[in-house]
Amino acid sequence: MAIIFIRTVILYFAILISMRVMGKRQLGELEISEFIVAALIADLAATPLQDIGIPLLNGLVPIVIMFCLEIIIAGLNMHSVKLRKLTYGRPEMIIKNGKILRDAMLKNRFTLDELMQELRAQGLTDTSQVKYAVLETNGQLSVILNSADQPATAAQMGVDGSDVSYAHIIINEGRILDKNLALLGRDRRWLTNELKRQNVGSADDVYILTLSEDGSVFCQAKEG
Amino acid sequence: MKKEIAAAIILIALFAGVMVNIKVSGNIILSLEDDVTAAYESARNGDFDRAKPQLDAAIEHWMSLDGYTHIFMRHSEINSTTEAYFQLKSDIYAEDIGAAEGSYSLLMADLDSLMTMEQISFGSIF
Repeated sequence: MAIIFIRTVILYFAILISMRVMGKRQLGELEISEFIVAALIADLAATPLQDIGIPLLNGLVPIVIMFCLEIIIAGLNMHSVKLRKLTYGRPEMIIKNGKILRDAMLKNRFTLDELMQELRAQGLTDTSQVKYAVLETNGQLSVILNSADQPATAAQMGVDGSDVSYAHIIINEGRILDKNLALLGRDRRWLTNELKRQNVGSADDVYILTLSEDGSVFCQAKEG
Repeated sequence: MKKEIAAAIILIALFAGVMVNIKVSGNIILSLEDDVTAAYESARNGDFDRAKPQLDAAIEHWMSLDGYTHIFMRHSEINSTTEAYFQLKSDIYAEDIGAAEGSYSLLMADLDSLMTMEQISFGSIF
């Protein structure tokens, strides 16, 4: 059992590092080569975990090899359009000017039921509202509506909306993040004054305090 | 690009390590086979007094490789080879050369299997 414990810890970190280095995209939008790696890594890790008669290296070495291959292939794809098409395929238009392209549907083995399901998931029930629908290489359907069916923007409605300002966390559960403070050109003295203004004794009493780039502050004290 | 170069270096290093391991495991198995064959030849010549310590030394040699074998070889293969060693020991200590011939062949087949498993060949890949 101790061996299984140690092996699990080792394999957990091996997979964690692999996935982390491969990037966040791995988690949500898998391309074909990434899917292969994700599916195989789980299986490779499980085998030496379940059977302690199999050397741990039999699981670790293939994980490292696949991780390296994925890094190399992804890197080469950044430089070669041809290779990118070869490994990831290319986006395919499924709907053009409201008309479903049957040949493209057949080529991608995409059924009408699946298409309607994807459209419903995006809040659409009528294909005539769709100007273009593109099946992306990661399997997601991107939908562009006809101009008449698109929601009006603030600019179209003549409303003067203020831009969104990014808020940085300055105090996280009582812990002051000096790096974020410096990023926004503030210091501890400013923070002390701000805490006084917010009627909070010290940073320890703060659950969260954020400062936006436009200077607005949000502060929530710890309760109880 | 640094990441890709690092990945390529790791891949090359792993491949080199694998090739070195093939060489090392081949040499180890050949030396183990030499030990066993020497003991078996002594027994076949009727010199069991010489064969017994030779085989004991061969078993000790095999056991001393535990650290290497358990990292690189399947434990079921190691167990099967160890059993074959002790089967040969049992037959040689019983001074039964007929039975020893069979157990010697079994042990050599197990050792060969350990070696061929690591060799790159069409058969071992597929």
